[in-house]
Amino acid sequence: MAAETGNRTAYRSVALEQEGLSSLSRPAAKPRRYYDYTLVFLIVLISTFGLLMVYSSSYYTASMSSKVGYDGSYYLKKQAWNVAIGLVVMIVVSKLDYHKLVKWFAVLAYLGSIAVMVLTNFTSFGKEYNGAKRWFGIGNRTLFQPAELVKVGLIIFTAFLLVKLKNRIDQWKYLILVVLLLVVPVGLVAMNNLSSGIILTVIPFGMVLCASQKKLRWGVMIGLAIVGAVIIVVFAKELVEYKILKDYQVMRILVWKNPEQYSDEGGWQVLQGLYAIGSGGLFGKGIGNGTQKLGFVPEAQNDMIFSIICEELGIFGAICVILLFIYMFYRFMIIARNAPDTMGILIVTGVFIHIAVQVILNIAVVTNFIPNTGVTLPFISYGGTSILFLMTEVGLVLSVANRIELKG
Amino acid sequence: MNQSQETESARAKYRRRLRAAKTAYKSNLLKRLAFIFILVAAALLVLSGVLIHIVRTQGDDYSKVVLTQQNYSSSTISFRRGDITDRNGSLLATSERVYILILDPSVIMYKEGVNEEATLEALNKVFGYDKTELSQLVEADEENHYIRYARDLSEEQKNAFLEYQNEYNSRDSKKRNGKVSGVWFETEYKRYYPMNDFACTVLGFSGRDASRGNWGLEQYYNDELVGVNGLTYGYINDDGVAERNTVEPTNGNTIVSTIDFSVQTIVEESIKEFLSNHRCANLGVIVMDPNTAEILALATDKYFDLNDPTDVSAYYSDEKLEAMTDEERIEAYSKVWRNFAVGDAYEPGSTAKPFTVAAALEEDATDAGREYLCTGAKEFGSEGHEVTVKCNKVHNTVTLKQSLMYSCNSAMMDIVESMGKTKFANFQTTFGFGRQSGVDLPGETAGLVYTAQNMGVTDLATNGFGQNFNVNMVQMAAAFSSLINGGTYYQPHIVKAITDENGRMVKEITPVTVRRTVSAETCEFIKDALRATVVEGTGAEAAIEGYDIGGKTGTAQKHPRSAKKYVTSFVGFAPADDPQVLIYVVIDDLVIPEDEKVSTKYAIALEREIMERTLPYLGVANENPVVAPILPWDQRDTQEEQVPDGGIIDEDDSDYEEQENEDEEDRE
Repeated sequence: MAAETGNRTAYRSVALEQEGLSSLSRPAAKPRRYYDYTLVFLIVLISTFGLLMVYSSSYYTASMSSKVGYDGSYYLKKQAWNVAIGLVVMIVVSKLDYHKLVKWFAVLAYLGSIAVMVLTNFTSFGKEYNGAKRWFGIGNRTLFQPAELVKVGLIIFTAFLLVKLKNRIDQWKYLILVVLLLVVPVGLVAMNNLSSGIILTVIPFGMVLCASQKKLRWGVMIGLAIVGAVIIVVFAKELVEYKILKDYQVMRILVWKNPEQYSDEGGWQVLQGLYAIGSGGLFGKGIGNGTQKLGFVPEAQNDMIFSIICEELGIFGAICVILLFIYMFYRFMIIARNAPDTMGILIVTGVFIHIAVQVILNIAVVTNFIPNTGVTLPFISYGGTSILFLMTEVGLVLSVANRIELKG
Repeated sequence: MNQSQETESARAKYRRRLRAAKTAYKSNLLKRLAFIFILVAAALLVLSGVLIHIVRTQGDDYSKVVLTQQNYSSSTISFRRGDITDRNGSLLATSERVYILILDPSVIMYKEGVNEEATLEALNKVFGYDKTELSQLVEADEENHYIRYARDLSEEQKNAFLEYQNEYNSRDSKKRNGKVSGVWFETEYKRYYPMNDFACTVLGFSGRDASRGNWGLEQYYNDELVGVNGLTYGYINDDGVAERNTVEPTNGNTIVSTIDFSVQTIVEESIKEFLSNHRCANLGVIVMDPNTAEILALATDKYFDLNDPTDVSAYYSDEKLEAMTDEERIEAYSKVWRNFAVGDAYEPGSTAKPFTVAAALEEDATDAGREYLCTGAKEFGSEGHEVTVKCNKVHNTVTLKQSLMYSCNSAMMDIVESMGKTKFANFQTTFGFGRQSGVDLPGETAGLVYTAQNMGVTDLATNGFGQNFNVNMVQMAAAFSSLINGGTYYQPHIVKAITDENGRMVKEITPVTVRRTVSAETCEFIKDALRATVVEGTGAEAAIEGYDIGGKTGTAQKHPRSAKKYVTSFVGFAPADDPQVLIYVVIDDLVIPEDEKVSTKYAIALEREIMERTLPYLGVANENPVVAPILPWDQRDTQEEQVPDGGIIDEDDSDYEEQENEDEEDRE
């Protein structure tokens, strides 16, 4: 399509030149622009595969559940709509100029994020689900998970800040200013949703890290973060006593260390996920043939969907999925390398870090490599808000790609 | 110019520096981004390694766990407990298919209860259930899938509901209010006794648990009556694919009893008639075919509805039951449920005299021509410890035949004395006394007899006329049959055959000859003597016009002797020369008017009533030319057996107490 557009432009400029009007009406021919069809294809591929796995893992429980009217394809249908809408949003965003988007929306996204989080946390617009207030809704209708909105908002806002500050980010006062600005929305999210809070910390951290030219400072910080994590894990019980961690957060750590012993507190779910992985073998039981989704792995279409992939497609299928993600990130690298300016690079960086962190956390949780945090697998897990905002983010990346001028 | 050149070069320099800075910034950014990419890729590779590690180290274990976790909701299919029929196939106990009504509130309340109104309306219309109660039930438990709401619904009731549901749900959607849904039926079997209390002591009962029978045939033949439950189950085949399989249940076998519906009816009606005028502690009637020892009818004075066995209101008031402790209540129930005819031992009294005579004839200790002198009493024992045993009256000289006809105790004592205790004890065993007859009913007591070793002189003497040893009714009926059928002791039994549910024979129970007891000649003598007993002896009231009846009365004084309580009995058979039926009636502790002496007339009357109605049914010809002289009771010569006060004089009662205790132990 890009080539076609390019040809048409070229054709028109020739026509104009022939009329001798070219130099008067247009100072220069519109440059040919790149469009990353590979990335679009990858997203369509992964989200279609996601639909298949959502259907496979949810059919049985949905067909037994009165909540969805015993409709086995309930989750498939809803997710299909979400993917379709997401793809349209992605294409639309990709055609917009990200410079203008950032210019217009950066501050708005920042303030909007804070506003939505305040409404969710402190007013009746916030809806509880499974015991946590993570949904924004009006009246009886729940609309979306604001944390996902904040993720996009912060990527745009951080990119905006870093472009404004340029090298000044390495000065302590500006760095502290950035931290203070970001702490507000991240803190609001972390109040009810620690895992999203962690992701929301990592995204801007990664972006600032990339923009900075200091080394020692970041090395020390990462070192401290690792020490902190180890302290939390080792002294979990003591931290509860001093009310620094909540009970359920510590329980997750205990469950992670010894799922058999704490099977009533969540270890059972963890073990069921592991059983699914272990029983899948090299090539799996075949799509649809898994048994762990039959009420053993809870809400198999959500956070634990990767365990069902392992069970039905084996290590082979699971590693194929991982490779698809790595290839997606590789496309992000290509786009960043050719991006016309630092703002583009920073946007790609933010989106990349966001998706990468979620993929790593999700798989690490499913394999019980880290304690359970409740992170979805991007593009594959069931969830409307997640897929919509992820598609928006990929739309931004495509928009950056679309600013790449093709030479010659 | 110079100045402008300088500015120009400075600007160019600045631009270059700026560009350099910009490039440096950008290249730094890209470098770090590339570094993060490598980190991410590495992390993902590590996680891939973790995946491989899990599969390699735990794969087999986890696969097994996953397989064992699959329970494919296997469900049992109930077997059907076998029927019990009478000898001609009339159903006495059967299992009916009934339905359990299951409510599924999660379906009824689906989508805020669009189907609630229609479903509750249907339940109300078909079964008459209360709608408010139903709606409270389903609304309170919306996520529940399974509520057993009602049991024992008939096939018709179930079909009525299904028809209603079909009709309603197929209506145009505007003409109905949601759908009738979330109601279904499960099958089970319910034990059912079509004739309620009919033959209750013989049959016993089975309740909700079809694998258990209580009392009677239900208990004794439980192993035959129960089947094997079927199963629907899922399993994983060699290809790892789940499959379902159904093993059909094996239903229980049918028990064909020897009970004859008509004879049993006659017996039960006669007993009920009798009980409407008399009171007694226990009463038992056995009707037996003497040529096979098949029990044609067996009934006692205890009646209860087999369909509701815990309703014993005929014997205990509700308040009384309520006030009892659990143990007392169980005791009370078992008093009603137990079978007196096999479970209780008693002293047979004079009905044992034919055995004494028959045994003596076999042992040549007497002969038909022998005469005995009765002075009204006999003395035993050494000096200083003398025991006097009385006869019921002074018979003077009696022949052997007359000794039976007039039930002379003295003659019996003489007979057993000449026979000796060893021979007598052997014959007790030959006749099957002192051990279980092996009748196919539960809880049979062995009774208690003396052995040659522990039998004293007085014991031998009193045993000779049926006191001082214990028997049960079935033992007596079976032994008596052998005295009149030519001398063959058949195993008494109450089941003829066992068939499968389709009526194919599984096991036929033919009469089993256990042993020969007496010779044919002895039999002829006994039959003749007992016929004479009815014609002109103590059993004269048992005579029935046109029939040739034989029989023997019996009166035994119960322990303690001082209580003056008696077991009266009569055993009758007909036709006397070729007996086709034997009827044995035992009445324990009959309440009689104060001024009346104990007598066997009530037992005889009951036996006569049954005999009179049974003989025509059994096709015994009413053609006997010899018509017994039937006189009214009070005009009769005192041939009636007279029971002496105390029966035995000067005997230490403690002996009896001791014996009774042993008897108790034996029963346990």
